[in-house]
Amino acid sequence: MSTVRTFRAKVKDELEWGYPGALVAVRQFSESSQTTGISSDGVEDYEYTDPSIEAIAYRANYWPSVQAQVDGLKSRPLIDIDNQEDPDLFIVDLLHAQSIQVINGALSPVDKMFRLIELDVTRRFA
Amino acid sequence: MGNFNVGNWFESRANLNIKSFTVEGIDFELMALTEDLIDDIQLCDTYADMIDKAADFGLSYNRKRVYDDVELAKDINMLWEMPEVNVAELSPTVKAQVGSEVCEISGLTELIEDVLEKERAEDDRAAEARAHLSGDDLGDTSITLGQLESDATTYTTAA
Repeated sequence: MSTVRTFRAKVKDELEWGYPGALVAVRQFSESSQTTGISSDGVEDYEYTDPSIEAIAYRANYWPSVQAQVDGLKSRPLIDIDNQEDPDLFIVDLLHAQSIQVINGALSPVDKMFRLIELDVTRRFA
Repeated sequence: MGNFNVGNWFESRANLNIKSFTVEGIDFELMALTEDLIDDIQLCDTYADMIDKAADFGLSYNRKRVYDDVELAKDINMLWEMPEVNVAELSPTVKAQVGSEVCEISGLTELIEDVLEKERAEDDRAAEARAHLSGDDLGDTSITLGQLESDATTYTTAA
């Protein structure tokens, strides 16, 4: 069983109630990236560039607190009240300065993606 | 330009509810907010901001709004910082009491009380959530993706 990625963040429900110590769990994600292979006379194989992240979408649930999860309460989906078509789908702003910093950082591709999602949640509900 | 209507002008002046207001021994002349200024108040995010702006906007002298005088408006902040006005141990502050009075004569009392009530309720819920926390350890080992999907599927939005 793989470990569900979780983090702590302030979130708000659809009634704008804030939960400053919420436990957020990423439910689904979709990431697209581009990898480029370059041939060179100096090397036998293609030289691969680091994947360039093009888009990240995700859905996430939250518990109002860690204790609420421990107590066995149900989680709730994060809702974007401005998104009428798909209210629990979020798109990471990859052009944000925080995102650019993470993308250019040293984390592994998977860790980068989850870090970008975490920062996106934090910004949205700050 | 349309004809100037003196009756309408006096009516708008009457709506300003210009009044004397004394707080902590300090005499103020206050006037109600115009529609445009009320719109500004309604754009504020917090009760404190609303009261703060109302105090700035509602000051008057010789039946003229201080905020409308470009030069005098620069001195409004200075007024609130004067030792006679900015009494540290006073709660609510003189400025807050003035802002509250301006809101009252402008018919905004219900609006700002609603905002205050909502803020207090949010604070209560935040305190409750904080009290519910048992440290920073993430108790996530028992979470499964199936559970998250099930919770999301069965959830009914509140609004």
